[in-house]
Amino acid sequence: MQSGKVRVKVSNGNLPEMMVEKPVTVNSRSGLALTSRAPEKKAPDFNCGPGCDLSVTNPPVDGEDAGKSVLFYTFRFDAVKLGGDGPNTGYKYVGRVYDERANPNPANPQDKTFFYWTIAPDADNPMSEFYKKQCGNYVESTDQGFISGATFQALATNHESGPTNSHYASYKASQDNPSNNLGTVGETIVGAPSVGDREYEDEVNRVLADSARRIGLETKNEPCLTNLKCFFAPNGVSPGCDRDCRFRGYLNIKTATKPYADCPQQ
Amino acid sequence: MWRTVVVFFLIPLLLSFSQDQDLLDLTKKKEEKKGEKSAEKTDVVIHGEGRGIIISTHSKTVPLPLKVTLESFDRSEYRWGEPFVYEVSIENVSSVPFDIPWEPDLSKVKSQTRAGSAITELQLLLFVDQIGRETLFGGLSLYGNSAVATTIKKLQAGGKGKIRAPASWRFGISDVNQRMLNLLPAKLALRAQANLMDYPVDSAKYIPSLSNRLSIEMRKEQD
Repeated sequence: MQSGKVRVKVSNGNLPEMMVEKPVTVNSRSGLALTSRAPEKKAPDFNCGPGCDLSVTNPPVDGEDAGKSVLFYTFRFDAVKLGGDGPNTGYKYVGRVYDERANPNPANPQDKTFFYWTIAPDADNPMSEFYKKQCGNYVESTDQGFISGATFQALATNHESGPTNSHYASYKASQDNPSNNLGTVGETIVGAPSVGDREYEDEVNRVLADSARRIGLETKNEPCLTNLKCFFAPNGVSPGCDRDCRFRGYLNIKTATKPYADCPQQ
Repeated sequence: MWRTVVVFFLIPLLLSFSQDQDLLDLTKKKEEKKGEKSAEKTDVVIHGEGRGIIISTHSKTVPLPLKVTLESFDRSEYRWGEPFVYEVSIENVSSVPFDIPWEPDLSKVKSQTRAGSAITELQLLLFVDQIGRETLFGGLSLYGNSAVATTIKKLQAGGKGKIRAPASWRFGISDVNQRMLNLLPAKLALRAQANLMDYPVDSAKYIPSLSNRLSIEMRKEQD
């Protein structure tokens, strides 16, 4: 939207024509921003539609992630082409952007934008061998010992869906940025009369898809990049850090050639 | 003597034929899309349905194995708002053949694609260096399905395809358009970006390729 000046030629009978000029301020409409979707926990085998994969390695292994998030963005919009024979005739603007299909089918997850996350079942199950083998004897001052099963479960949960230093927090921050938010971005896309309807529709689609992709890529950013130990700890399976990016212990992991280490006797 | 003359005539003919096969000229197709400017008496609502975009955390993105070269513009000087034509070449820089979508008409690809079979989209866009990569314009999309040979171009390792496309010097976002006008007149550095996506749900698995810079002189719409 642009502010500017309006010039009108006034004529009245035999009087000489007059140009009248007045500044005009155009304000963007409010209340168009889309709100973030809440994080939803799903089982790794949940069918979230084409191209969507929530599967994780179970039990967690060295070098793999114990959790995963998937952001799916879908959108549609209504644009308006101004009719009549006024000075704005033929101009087009986006009336509203929606982050779900019209009449979404509850059986089709991809009819709506979603943020799903999951965690390896053994990391989420206190009865699993993996969970029990996380001895909980990590000492920060000596940097020795294993994380506890409960702490790892909490860290993995926060890493994906927590309110800070998480993929969900990155998604929310990116979505709430007016330069990315599809609702507010849509407000800025104006089509001149010389632009065909189809061409304008393509352009709006492209600009909004760019915004959605940007939100997605920022969601993918790894939290706690300031502490490399969160990622490169020996035998560490991401995430090894809490919401303050503090390292909370090593994981006890078995491999094809090495069983879980025994926990020390209490 | 005659043999020599025939060879001299044949070589340029064969060269131009092979060039035509590698060139996708979209300048005529785009013109067909226009002509929808008739003024209605009342406002008209345009309903748009966007694509789906899916991003998995902890998944890998890989560079697109395509080198994009912004080859030329139809002129060296323009006024902002004018139409223009540009040419881009796309080269397979991997060591194996690579299929790129090559059909601008999505409905044609859809009609030949079996349900559940994947459609890919090659998206080409331009951006002005001085404004930034966030504002892309001059966009075009080509669609293809590897199972339908007429909709793809198979680029052998080192193979090239060329696209000639029409566009207009204009940003859809009005405040960016104004920022551009404030810069003019100026020598603008243009670059192209190519991205390969799944259709209709894009899983953003590739890092887009960026082209070289090409400069043009740009003046305001009206001096």
